[in-house]
Amino acid sequence: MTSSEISDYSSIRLMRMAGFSFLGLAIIFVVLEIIVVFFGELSYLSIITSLLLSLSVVILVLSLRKVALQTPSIRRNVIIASSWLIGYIFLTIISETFFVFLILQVAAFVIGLISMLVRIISFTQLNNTFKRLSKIGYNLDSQIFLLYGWFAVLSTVALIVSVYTLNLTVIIAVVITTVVGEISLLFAVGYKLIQNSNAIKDIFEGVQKRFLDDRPELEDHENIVVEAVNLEKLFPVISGFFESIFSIERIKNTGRATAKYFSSIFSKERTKTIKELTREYFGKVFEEREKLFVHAVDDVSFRIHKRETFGLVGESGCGKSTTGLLLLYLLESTGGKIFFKGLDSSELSVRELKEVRRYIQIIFQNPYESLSPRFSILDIIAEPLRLLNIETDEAKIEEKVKEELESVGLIPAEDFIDRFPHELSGGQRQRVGVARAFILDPEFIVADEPVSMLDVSIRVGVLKIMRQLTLDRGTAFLFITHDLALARVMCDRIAVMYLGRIVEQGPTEELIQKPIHPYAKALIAGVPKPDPDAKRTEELPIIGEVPSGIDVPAGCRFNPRCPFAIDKCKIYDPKLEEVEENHLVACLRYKEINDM
Amino acid sequence: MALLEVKNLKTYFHTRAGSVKAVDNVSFKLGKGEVLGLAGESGCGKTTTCLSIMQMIDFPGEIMEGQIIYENAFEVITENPSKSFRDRIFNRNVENKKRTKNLLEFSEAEMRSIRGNHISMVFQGAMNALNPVHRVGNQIQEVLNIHEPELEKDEAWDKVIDILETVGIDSVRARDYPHQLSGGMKQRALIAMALVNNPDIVIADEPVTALDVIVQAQVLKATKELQRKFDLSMIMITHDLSVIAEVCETLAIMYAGKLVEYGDLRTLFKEPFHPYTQALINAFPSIAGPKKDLYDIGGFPPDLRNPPSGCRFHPRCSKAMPICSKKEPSNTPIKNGYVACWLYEEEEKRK
Amino acid sequence: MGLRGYIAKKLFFAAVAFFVAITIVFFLYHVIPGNPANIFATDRTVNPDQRDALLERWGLNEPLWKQYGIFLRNLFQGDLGFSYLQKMPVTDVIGESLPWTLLLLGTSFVLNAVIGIFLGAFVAWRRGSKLDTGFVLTYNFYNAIPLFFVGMLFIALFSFYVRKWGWGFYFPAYGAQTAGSSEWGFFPRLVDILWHLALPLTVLTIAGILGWSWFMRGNLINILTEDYIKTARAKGLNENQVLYKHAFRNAILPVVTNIGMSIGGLIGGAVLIETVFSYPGTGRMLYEALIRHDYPLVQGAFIIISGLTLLGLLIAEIIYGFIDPRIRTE
Repeated sequence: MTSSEISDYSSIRLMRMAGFSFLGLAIIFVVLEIIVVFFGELSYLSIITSLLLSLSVVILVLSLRKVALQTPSIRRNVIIASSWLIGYIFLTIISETFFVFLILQVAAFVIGLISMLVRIISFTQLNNTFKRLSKIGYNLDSQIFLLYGWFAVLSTVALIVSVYTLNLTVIIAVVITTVVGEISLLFAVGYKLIQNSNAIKDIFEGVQKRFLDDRPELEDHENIVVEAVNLEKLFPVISGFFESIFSIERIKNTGRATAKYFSSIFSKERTKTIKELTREYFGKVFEEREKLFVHAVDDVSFRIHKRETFGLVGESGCGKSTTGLLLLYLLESTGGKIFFKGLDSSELSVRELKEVRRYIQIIFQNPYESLSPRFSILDIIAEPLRLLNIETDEAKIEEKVKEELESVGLIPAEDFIDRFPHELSGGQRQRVGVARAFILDPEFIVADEPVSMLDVSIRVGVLKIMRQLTLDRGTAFLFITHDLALARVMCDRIAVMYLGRIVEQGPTEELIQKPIHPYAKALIAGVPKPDPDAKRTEELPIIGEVPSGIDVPAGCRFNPRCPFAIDKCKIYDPKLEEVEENHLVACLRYKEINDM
Repeated sequence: MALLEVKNLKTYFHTRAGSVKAVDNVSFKLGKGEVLGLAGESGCGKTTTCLSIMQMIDFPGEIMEGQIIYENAFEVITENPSKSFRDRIFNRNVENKKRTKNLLEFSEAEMRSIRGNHISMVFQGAMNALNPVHRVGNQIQEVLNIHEPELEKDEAWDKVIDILETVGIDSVRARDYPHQLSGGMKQRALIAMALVNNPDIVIADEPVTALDVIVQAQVLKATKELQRKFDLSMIMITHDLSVIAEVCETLAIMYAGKLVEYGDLRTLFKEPFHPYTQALINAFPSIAGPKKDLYDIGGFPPDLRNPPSGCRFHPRCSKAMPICSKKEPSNTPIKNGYVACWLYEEEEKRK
Repeated sequence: MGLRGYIAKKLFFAAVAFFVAITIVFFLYHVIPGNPANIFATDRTVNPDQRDALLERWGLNEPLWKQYGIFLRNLFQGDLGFSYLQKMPVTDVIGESLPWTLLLLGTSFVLNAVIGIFLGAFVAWRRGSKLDTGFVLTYNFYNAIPLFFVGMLFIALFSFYVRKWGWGFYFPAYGAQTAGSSEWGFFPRLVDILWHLALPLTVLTIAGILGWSWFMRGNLINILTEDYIKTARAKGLNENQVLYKHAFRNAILPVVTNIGMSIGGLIGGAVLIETVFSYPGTGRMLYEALIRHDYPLVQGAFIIISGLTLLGLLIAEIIYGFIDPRIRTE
């Protein structure tokens, strides 16, 4: 990896720009104040200053967005901060504009006050953002924002009070303090930002170095590319607020309590007060709202080696796609760890994650929607190369794209590079998707149902190409599918998932020929066979449909549908056990079942 | 004797870029109690064929020519003498006994009394095939209301409950709305809707696609049992050969609007004649038996606006001969069916 | 949660929204320059006794928060304030012009919604036909012309040129009734009112019908591609049954919301049309009040408009809940 491969410095540049603009703003402030002092009241100047302030804040937010783009919690914070900032800027401009007109001065005054409040909120949010950033490796301590925000509010209040005193000395003193304070704080903010941008740069270069240094060692790491350890993803269910408030039981209970309260007025018996009742009523609502979770992925562990295709198989809603998204770092896990080439993702900073992502690619399910209709095939496949500045020479890019197209069987490549997605058939599009994923020579690819939208006659071609490329380039491949027959074609090892858990995991042929877990057995028996004589097992061993992931059955998750379930299964939650070499099963009774 | 016979059916879609020959010269027969599997890739015309049988082709589609002979067609005519004013004007000889059994010559009102009554259709339930704003039971009862208006409301409702229980849905679910049912139950409800008025023929369009494997197995099993119970004739449209292998007795393979092979399921699965059928069966991954290498057909399905000349499969065919690109093959009889391929036509000629 | 919970939820929201709306209206009214106390203090045309009574009734000498309380109390007593321009209570001023607006806009609204929905369905069902093409062309043509211009055109044609050409029949160009008609009998008066109503009503109704049916057409065309329409046909339903039993009910859902939202707009009136035809409706009244700074009147009208809009929306949402079972459980 050369220095040209290092991703953009734009956020650092933006941060620095923000800092300089704050500095510049402070200077402009000084100049403006001098003008005001010497030339009297010039209200339009305040509009200009507020516009300038907004501009520098906008630059600042932009730089933050760049830094924080990958981590959802920080991104959320930046969004909140920037929306408050927009409100602040908007209000300030309005109030300043109103001040120009004598009639509207009362309104301007009120709006100005509100804008100050919004300003403190927005700056608090900015401060929070910085705090969060510092948590993941950026040492961007910047209490200065908070200080600046509070100062604005305090100075405004002081100004108002001083105006009411009608004492010229006091007013002048307050004005001078305000102006000096504002200017010095602006200087401080600008200086801090520039300092911070330097800090980011240092960290950024450190990341590059660390990642580069670490890689050769990891080659020896048993060839494990990706390892998931006790991975967990819970989606909180926000049940409707009104559903909880108007639930019949709650209304009934409260009705009874209220009736008791009113009857107690006459008997003078001490019961809950109205206040307590209300608190109880609404308190419970919030409690219950936060308790529910969908257990999408719950305690899932596996390893994927170099040159290996690992299959995740299960019915819809079993959590296989969520697992894929977790491994792509597109979702934040709520528990457990993911090791990519031995690097723990939770220890990585945003920058490092961004670097790691370059080595992880995705193949989408729907070839009709995953390719941008306005990009030519060349642009689609070359996009990662261009985005990451891996190759800047257009001729070389085209060369590389052609090579890649040929390797996915779109021959001759010249015919395809200038076409647009709508001119290709579904199978050809999916091949383009495969080429796009493989062009960066990734270490790891996640493919979520890559062929389910394709026709049978085309499926095989795409599968074969993916398999071939995986073997040729030594990529680790996660193949997510609901179709065991397809998994059999593609995968070296398969894991069967049920309600967020892996119930059985083992080498493909072994698992398909001799499944041990009752669910895996049912799943395999359920797959239709393209052979009129091999009828599906007439009596399906299991009944019903998958329960919801919200109230997961106690004990073994499969017990309500399992024909072999006994009392033990309703209490103990089985862990994955190694039955044979590399063959893991999570069942309490697998021995007895297989002896039957 | 065939209950339904499709002869040389041609359905085209007229677009600005030319006519799309979605169904081109398709012929097959369906006997009483027979289950026919209609397989092919998406866009090969299998759904259009069945919509043509129901005469539910929307603009800009048009049935160009062909015959659809329905054996019990006379029942419809005698059953339904009352006609709308418009039909009376356009079909003056309605009561005429000389009328054909060809459904394509039926008036719209007569077709209506056939749909849902004699021939009914099951759509893919996971999609929006049930109206979201009506109760499931009422939607099923609607079929009875149309075709048996003399039935009392209570009786009709009892029938609805009956059929729901037959397909394996709890009777309390009849008052539910579609969004309250799971995917498997929606599909069962659709099957119930198709069966409630004891039709002769049921056409199922991808009935188990998009269902999970185990639910799919449950629904297929129920379908098979019901078919045996009512001695139904069925046409099963699907792209999934394994579903057909499970349920059907006869197999028809379509490619690019043409029926390329038609015959007994077992025979065809064991020794497919047409190279496309061979490739399709070999391309299908299986979970049973030893792992076999899959066959890649290669190439891509043709654009039906200007299909390849001659045999439409020849650009992708591994056994293509010079004649294949020049002349269209005709139907050559084979064991219990026919195949449209020059390989066998030449052989036949030599004999 | 079911229908009951759904309705309770909507009622609660509507109440909160109304409260917020009237609060905003009140404070806006006091923030804008020239607040009521000043106006009463400086306006010489208000007689001193009346002024004192008003100042006390509205607590205009009290602090703002107290005024707000008084404002709320008065509002619940049905008192919306005193229009110092018209020298009478706001409720009376609005009550005077409201019947005319309701007559004009209400009639047009009912006609629009009913005819528009059915015309839209009818046209969508025959999509691509000559009728449909004609409809699309008409819609675009009529929408391209400003409504007030159409109004002026109508006046020119049916009221001016018709008389110039010496035809026996014409429509009046302005007003809602002939001066002095209040002394006529019931039927002559009714005919007179209808005669005056004809032109503005036609202009509004043509535009409205086209708009509503355009909306309905779009919805229905989308619905007709759904799978359940195919299912319905496969059941053997005839086209009318498919249209009205299956497609119509689904397509009408967004229309219901729109109807609800438009109810509030009725009071606001069609300012342009009322101005062009010099129709004494609330739209014109409100316009005059605005340009002449009669804030109590504007405030009163705003409160009524926001209340009716919310009421309309509430009704629409409740109807929605009845029609669409999915909404209730969400």
